[in-house]
Amino acid sequence: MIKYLKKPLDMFFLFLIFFFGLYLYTYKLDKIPNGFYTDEALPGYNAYSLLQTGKDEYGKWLPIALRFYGSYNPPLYTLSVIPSIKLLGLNVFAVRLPAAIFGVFSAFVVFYFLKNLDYLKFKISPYLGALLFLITPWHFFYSRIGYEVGLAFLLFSGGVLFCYLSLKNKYFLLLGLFILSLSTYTAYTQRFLVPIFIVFFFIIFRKILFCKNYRHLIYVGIFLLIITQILNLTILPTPAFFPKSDLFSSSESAGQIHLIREFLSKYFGYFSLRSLFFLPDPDLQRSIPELSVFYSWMLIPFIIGLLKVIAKKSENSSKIILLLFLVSPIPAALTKDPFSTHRALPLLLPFFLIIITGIDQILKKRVSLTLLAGFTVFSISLIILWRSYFVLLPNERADVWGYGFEQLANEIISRPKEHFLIDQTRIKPAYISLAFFLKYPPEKFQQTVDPTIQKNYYTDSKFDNHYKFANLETKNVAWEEDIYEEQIIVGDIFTVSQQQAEEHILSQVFEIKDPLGKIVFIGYKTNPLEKCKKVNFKSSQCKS
Amino acid sequence: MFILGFIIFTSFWFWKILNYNLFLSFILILTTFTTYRNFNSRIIGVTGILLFTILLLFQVKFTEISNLTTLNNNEITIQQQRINEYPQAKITLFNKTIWVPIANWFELRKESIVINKITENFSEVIDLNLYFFANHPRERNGVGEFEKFHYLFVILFLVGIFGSINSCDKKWFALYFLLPVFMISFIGNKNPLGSFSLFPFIVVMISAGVKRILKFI
Repeated sequence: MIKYLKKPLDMFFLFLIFFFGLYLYTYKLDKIPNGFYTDEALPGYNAYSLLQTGKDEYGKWLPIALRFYGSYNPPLYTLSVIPSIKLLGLNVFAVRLPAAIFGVFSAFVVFYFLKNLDYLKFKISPYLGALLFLITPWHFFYSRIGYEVGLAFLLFSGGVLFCYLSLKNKYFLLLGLFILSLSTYTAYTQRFLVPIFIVFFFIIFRKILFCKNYRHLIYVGIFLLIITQILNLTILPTPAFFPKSDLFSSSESAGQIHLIREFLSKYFGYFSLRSLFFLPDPDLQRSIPELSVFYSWMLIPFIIGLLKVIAKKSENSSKIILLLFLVSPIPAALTKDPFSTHRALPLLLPFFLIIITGIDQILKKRVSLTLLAGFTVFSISLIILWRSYFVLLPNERADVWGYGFEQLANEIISRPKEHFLIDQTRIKPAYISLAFFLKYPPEKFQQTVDPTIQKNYYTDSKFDNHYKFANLETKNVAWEEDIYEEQIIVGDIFTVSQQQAEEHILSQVFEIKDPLGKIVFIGYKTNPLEKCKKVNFKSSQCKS
Repeated sequence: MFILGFIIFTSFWFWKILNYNLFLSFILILTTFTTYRNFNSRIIGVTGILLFTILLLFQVKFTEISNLTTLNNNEITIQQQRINEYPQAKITLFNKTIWVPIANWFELRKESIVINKITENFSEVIDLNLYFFANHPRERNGVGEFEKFHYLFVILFLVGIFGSINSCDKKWFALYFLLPVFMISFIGNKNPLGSFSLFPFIVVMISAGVKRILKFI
């Protein structure tokens, strides 16, 4: 691998790719996606809390899995956000920056993978591959949000790369297994995918891996896996290890035949050309408007590449690609989601390797013409990406990206003497986004949470949406009581109707709209005295 | 031939077509058998082309062809909304400002609308889940999805297609697969019987898959 860095021209191109990726992935990083989702605020605020106090939001010292709202997320991404917050402060850019950096490094993993595929004929293919990878929508989207999946992809791909390289140089095997094991501390998918991958890797390449030369390394590798998994094993018997079991397809009322059909339909759904090259992810929060996970034109090199890979199926390069291709969707196919780009992100690697194989085959026909066509296609892809991601996404998806919490936090700061009640009937847990934007001191926040949670940290997964800190409270509005308290009730457009506002003498004090003009939050001030007068002080809530 | 017959008569799709139009189902059986014969012999006879042409004509006849430039009310609303989302783009050359109508190019031009419609139709017709899982789990809005072949046949289909694609006659592939796919991309998928002009291709690929597996066993 080091030999590729020796040539100055190689280094120059790699630096170009690095700086291009860094620019693209950090441009308006705090502004697009427009908003700051709860799943970003959670690692952000917990990283801040760990930095300031060594404890998470619940006061747990260095947790193996972060409880969040009962989701028990693997901790590595949150830990990676700590240095970013230390340098840049607690803000959206700092939370997303590690994902952007990991995304750029993933392009280099893909580059080295392509460099080591035996049947790629053209020296330029790995460079084209790395460049194209940076603008592939699937990867681009997840590299610009504060989610753990980008880091999970980097570590998983890196681990697979070293395992593949170990077929030629046995010492890479330990590094590969170590990195794969580490990836299980980044995202849930890897907890299931890594063991599946390792088992099949050893089965498929058994002739190489079980020969005399490798035997002692395998024993060391097993020992290494056990050692690195001790932390996961300590929480294995607790709900913290498997908190998302409700996401898995239900087997209560369905028969086994139905389950097989359900699994197969979802599994093959991850190979659906329509879903991969034409339709965005059905979850609006995980997709780019009018853009699928790959560009539509990539269908052609994909088919050509797939035929090539299958034709060469006896070669190690093909075997590793086909192995990844077939096992990567398994964890995602077991869940209820119809097409989860989030959970199936590992599938990006084999698909992309196949696409570049196809491009390499096309290059064989007429290099200069193909390069010219390639440049045109690359430019058009950039324009399509610009349109969908930088123009449409910030406007059309602001509401699903938690837009409005920063503005709400500013309203709260501007009214320090007022008490705010944030209605939680329909809104995602607001407490964490508000704690984040208010930069509420973690040591004070930890004192507001139920102390029994710390004691039963990994076993008590119940999440209570009721929080009280600073001058705010988050809970469902209780109309019999809350209108008699002097406060500002904040909710969406359904929280308070016109009739309710008139009946309870509520006066609107602010309104927060998204870029399309849709109301995100409305704040209503209560008038307890007037309300009590209206009901002749008959309510028990009326204070004398 | 027995395998072919088994696949045809166990297909939910065939029985739906039979219930809808007896003559069409008869044409479908004949076309499927001639497609199979052409696949094995690598010669595409006149009979095969004639029958397949009749099948394609039936495909056009039963499809509610909509104008590729027409937008429904929802699409018009989104289009109007999106025009305002684009930034004002301009190029300044020698003190002259040239405004670049990006919003117009992407949202209003008929070419953009047509390309979007064609790719949408194309993506629907090439979706594997459409044929084996009634488009589950990504069913289309406002469309009565139905299962065309038993879901277990998907594996046989994939074995058949990947085993045959390198060795099969390219003309056969272009006629029985590419031609109906491109035709449906232009006329659309609003058809109560679905894209049945692909029925012979799918059945032949499934039977090729069965043969490969039997050979392997």
